[in-house]
Amino acid sequence: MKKIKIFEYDCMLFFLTQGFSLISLNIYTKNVKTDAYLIPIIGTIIGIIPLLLFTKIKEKNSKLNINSLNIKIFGKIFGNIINTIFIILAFIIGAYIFFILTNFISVEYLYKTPLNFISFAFALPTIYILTKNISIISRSIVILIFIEIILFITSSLGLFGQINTHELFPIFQNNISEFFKTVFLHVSFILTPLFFLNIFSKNEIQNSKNLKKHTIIAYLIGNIVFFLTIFFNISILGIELIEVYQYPEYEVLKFANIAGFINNLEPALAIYWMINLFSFIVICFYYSKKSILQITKFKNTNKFNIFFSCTVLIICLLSNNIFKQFSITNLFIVISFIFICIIFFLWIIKNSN
Amino acid sequence: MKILKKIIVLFIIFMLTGCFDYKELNNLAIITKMAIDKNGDEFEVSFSIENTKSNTESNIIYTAAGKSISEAINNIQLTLPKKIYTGHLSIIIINEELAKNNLNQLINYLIKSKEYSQNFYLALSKDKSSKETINEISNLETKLSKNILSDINNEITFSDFLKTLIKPGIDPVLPVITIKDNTIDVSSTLALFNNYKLVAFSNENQSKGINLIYNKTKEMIIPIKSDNKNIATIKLSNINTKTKIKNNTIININIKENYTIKEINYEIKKQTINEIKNKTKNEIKKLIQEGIEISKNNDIDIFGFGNMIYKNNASYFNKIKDTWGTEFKKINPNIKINLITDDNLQQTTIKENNNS
Repeated sequence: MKKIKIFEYDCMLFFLTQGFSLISLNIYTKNVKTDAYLIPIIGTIIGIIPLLLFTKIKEKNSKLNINSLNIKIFGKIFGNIINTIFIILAFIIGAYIFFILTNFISVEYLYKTPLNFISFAFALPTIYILTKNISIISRSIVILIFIEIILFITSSLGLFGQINTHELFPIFQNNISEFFKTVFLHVSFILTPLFFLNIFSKNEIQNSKNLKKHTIIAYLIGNIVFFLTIFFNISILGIELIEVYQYPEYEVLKFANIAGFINNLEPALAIYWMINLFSFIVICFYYSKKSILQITKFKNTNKFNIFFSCTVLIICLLSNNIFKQFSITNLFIVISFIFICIIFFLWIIKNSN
Repeated sequence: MKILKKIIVLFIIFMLTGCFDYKELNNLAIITKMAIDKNGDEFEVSFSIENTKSNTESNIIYTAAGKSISEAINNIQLTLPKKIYTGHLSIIIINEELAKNNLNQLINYLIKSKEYSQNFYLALSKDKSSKETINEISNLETKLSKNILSDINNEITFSDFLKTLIKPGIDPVLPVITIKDNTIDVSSTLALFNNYKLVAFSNENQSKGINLIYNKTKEMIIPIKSDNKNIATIKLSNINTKTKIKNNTIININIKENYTIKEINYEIKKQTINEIKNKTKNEIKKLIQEGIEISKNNDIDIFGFGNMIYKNNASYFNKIKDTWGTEFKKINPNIKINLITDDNLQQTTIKENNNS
């Protein structure tokens, strides 16, 4: 059994918290206007309870990953049905984020290039990395996190001087129920992808003694970055301009200015979003790959890799056509999160029995 | 599996070379200024293109007309041997007719066009067409080797303009470029808008007042008349304006500035300094009130007092939002001016004391 390092696990957790950050700003500002920057603060506090619950179950069943645990608790038939649902969920979320990635590149960089061509270009490295084993994937993610840190710090330094606190008001002008609905949506955006990390049992992580501590720290860092993204956007662009642009996260980078002479950095700094989404997609598809292998007990890995690569390629190419017409609603993510919570709840009941 | 890997690597080689859809710098027409005129039913777009050959004039103007802005730009492209590149665009100048009737169309076009950086400046050309204006600017810049646009006092980028257009309780302004007898005036007039329509132009004093409230003026010269013959010229520097709101309706404008007597044609005494100081304060107040007056006369809030009320108490502003034009007229901001003596003036005083 190949093990991953705890730091690699933390990096994966960080990327999973960022998956929906590129689309969440528009959704939050549409729902709660200026209060959008308060959503990650409240959401982080509320979200820590289910996160601790997830970690506790993982620690209790240290030898079993999610698929084995489902089979153990719900039996072979029901367990496999639930596992299949989770695999489909991982494919749908992965494909949706892939669509967001290609659409983002198409809108902001390659507006004259066909979307399918961009999809194909990004599907190839995704497929290639998925043919490798987990130690290579996790090491790649660690390299990406260092690039990510440099880009985020550069963006923050460039944007810090442009903050206009006047734009952060008025607050609490919306319906309180709308505010908490959006908080719940944020919790779903953060915690639904984190569920895919359960593909690693506790024993598959090196030095997993401090797993709870590491999980909480990575979760908090992910949420702080999420908050800062929304904070910079609202305080610099203002909610009126945010509503005008499709990707305000890219537009705000046009204001980045370091020491008065380093500017026009947005094409380079926006690579941050591409790394975020790419890593997220890889983890989602890896979850599906490992789960299918575990359920089907496929022995010929080469043949399986070809089959899985073709599936991912088809999904990636179809994602543009499907999600252009049927965009995933927020409700889908919320329902997925509720479904995950129900499964966890049933685990707890069955475990206590 | 090895064959699959080879195929993938082969594809990556072709994709990552950068040869696909490449553009050489020599094949790009780099646009630095753009002028858009609305004449009757047609839009006339002019581009000032940076000339890459050093032995001829630095800018060349290309013009074409069309039923829409996109069509006019496309028509320019048909006459140009190079590909239009707007990534280095520094300013778009529009004419009065466009500002009165088709601003909405221009904004819509610019938001949707990803080729534009959105950090370029916007200005309005008065009396002459914007095509003539960029032509004059290009000629003068070649002669003087100077960027004339850096003289614009109230420079407004496209994103700033867009913000003021869509925010509640604030109306936008644009700097006006006027050309008279081969001189370009970029700071004495401002164009005032109500939503997407040009409604008025401010005169020099009103523009000074508006820029003071905007905190865009950093230095200013004010002549103070003591009587019919005697004039003292005051230089104001480090001007800093802060506008604050209190109890939803009280607007306080606090101006802090250094002042120096630059020139004086009469004998200075201790009491005359106070007199000059008071007269300077009154003169600044007068400028600000003139700026506010033109805004009130046109039922528009170019200072964003309404937006300040909205930020402070949104529910209160939402109640008066529809009648804000008339509510705004009732607002009389408290203007507080704090003049700080410069060393220069103290020296004058010391000299005067020594003499007496």
